[in-house]
Amino acid sequence: MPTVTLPSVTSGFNQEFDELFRQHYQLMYRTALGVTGSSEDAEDVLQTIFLRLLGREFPPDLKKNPRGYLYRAAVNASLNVMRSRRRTMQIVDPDNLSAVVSSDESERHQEIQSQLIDAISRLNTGAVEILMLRYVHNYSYAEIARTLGMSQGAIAVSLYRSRARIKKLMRVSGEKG
Amino acid sequence: MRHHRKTIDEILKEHVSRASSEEVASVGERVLYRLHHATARQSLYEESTREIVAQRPVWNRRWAVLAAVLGVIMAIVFSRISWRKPSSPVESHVAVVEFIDGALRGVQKEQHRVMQVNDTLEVGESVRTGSGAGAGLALSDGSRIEIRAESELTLERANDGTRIRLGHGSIIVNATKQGAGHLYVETRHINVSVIGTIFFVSAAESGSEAGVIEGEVRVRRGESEVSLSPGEHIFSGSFVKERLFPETIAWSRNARALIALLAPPVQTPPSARPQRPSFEVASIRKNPSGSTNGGIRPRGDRLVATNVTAKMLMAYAYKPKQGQLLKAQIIGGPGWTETDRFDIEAKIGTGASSTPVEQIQAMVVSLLEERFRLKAVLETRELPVYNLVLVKNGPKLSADQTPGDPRQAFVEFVSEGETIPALPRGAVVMVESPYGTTLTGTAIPVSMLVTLLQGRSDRIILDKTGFNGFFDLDFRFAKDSGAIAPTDMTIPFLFTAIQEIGFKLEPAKAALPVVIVDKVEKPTEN
Repeated sequence: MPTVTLPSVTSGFNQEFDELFRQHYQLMYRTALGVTGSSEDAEDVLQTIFLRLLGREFPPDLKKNPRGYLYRAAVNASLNVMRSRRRTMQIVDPDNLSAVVSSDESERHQEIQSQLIDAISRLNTGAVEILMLRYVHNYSYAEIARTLGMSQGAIAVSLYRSRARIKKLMRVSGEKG
Repeated sequence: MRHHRKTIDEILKEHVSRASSEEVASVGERVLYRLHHATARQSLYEESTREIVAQRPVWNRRWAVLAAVLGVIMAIVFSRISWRKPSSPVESHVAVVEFIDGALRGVQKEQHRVMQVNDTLEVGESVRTGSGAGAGLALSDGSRIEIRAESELTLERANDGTRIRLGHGSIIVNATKQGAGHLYVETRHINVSVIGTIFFVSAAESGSEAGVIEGEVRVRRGESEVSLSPGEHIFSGSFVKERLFPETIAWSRNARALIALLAPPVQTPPSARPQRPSFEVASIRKNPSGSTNGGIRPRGDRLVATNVTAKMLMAYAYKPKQGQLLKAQIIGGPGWTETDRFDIEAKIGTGASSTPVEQIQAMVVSLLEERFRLKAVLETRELPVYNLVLVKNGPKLSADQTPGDPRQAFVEFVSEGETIPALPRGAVVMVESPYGTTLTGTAIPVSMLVTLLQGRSDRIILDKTGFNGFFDLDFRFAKDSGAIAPTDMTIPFLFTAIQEIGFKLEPAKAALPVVIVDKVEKPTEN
């Protein structure tokens, strides 16, 4: 993944907080974008998580494993956004989630993406953590296993189940793998 | 089913949302900026509340709940007993002294007293800070006042809130939301009313001034009234809005946080930059040739644009330092901005070769604004792009990796059948035929390939290869548009062809600068 240099926006900004943000915001934003499919929501997720940490002593879990803690926080916060969005959508229009056949390529792309995002948001948190590392961050099974402290077999099983569940939710036939 | 051929694995790879590095960097910048502001606000709040919180007794939560319940019962009982009685007298004290640096004196009915932290101020009582001193007050509504040295103020009840009468000196007020009421600051020259904000007021013999750090205030002088927004400042004399300089509030013990709140946004739109350079003189004439070839280039002390459209001028004027500004990045504007063509000759003043390109671009912006009455806004929007990436091991490196002479990095256009000239390293020969194009060259950098591909792409191409070496170019691709269909089906299209030399174009999205045309008029010819 290409690295990005952030210009120094602040002076006198809490050094520890600043470093924490700079080291992990990319991972968190990309994860939130993968789960929510919306750059606005992903930006909100990123901001909300860091706002909660602002001016407080960092939780012990964060101190122990900042990358893991913030990654999980991003997945959780993103799933919360999706769940609340789903509730709102169901109130507004219960048929909105059903498929609409369209011949237009871009509309079809959007439709598949929307179904996919909805399906992902219905998976459990652990499964989404693994799925995002695999498909957003292009981690290998070994890298996911190392990051989450699980075995490669468990990762493979989780991904297989997630794909099967997504397939069922998207009502897509022909899943091979 | 519509997408039955794809596996979920493929759908996930293709449809999971991803962000470009530019987009991520821009989000990071924005969020960090907002967090910084949140920190500034928080530190301001904490600074001002720390002492009060420290003074509060720590209650057992159970007792606190019990007390609250009793309080509610008492309030109900009291309101039932006294509902017919006239309203109770106004609470006699309106503020508590939060901090004192140096000496603070209270004055009421000509009685002076030396004030201490946690002393209360009665309605109508004045406070004075000595030379080199400062003090902070917490009002009963939660608002806070920081008083500068050698200042005097009196707290009063107004009909719909609280009034701070500033005799002389300066204060910074962090006003809480006032609900239905108002907080007023009155000097002998002006009256400032607020609902909830951070602002500064100063009063002297010669006049008064007010400035806003956050939120909005209304300042009244006699019959005139103006609203001040963050960063705006006004003097009672001229009563014209000016910029609030950080030095004005540098005396505050929270100066750093306040100045941070005043900090301008990270990016200032170019339209806000003062005194843009302009051409000494410019002639504009319509070009009726019907030709579609045209260009812009400096010549001597002039900029000469031949057979250009208004959008070509905009593309030149707003082109970022790195990269290009394509037609898709200019949004809006009537049809003639892409069809009507003009010849323009404009005098730069000094030699064009010694004038930086950015300055000439700024001059073209001035020309567009003055002669075309252009009103445009620069924004960043997420647009479809192609990322140029490496395939497998990338291109085959040239045997000689020393860079060619940059002045020789040109493209030679040759028609099929013509003799191909011998070219220096770094240059490319492009052979066009009705069915395809052949590109050949030695010691080519990726930037040259991007330039070549860009001319054939409707999307911006971003170099994501990270490849810094030089490679030899020799590939052929079929035309993918035009009246003549390729007869030789073995010639690949561009997207496939570049994979043979180790590159690939991947569709993606990236935050790119765009010019939003709000208004533009046909120019007056001269």
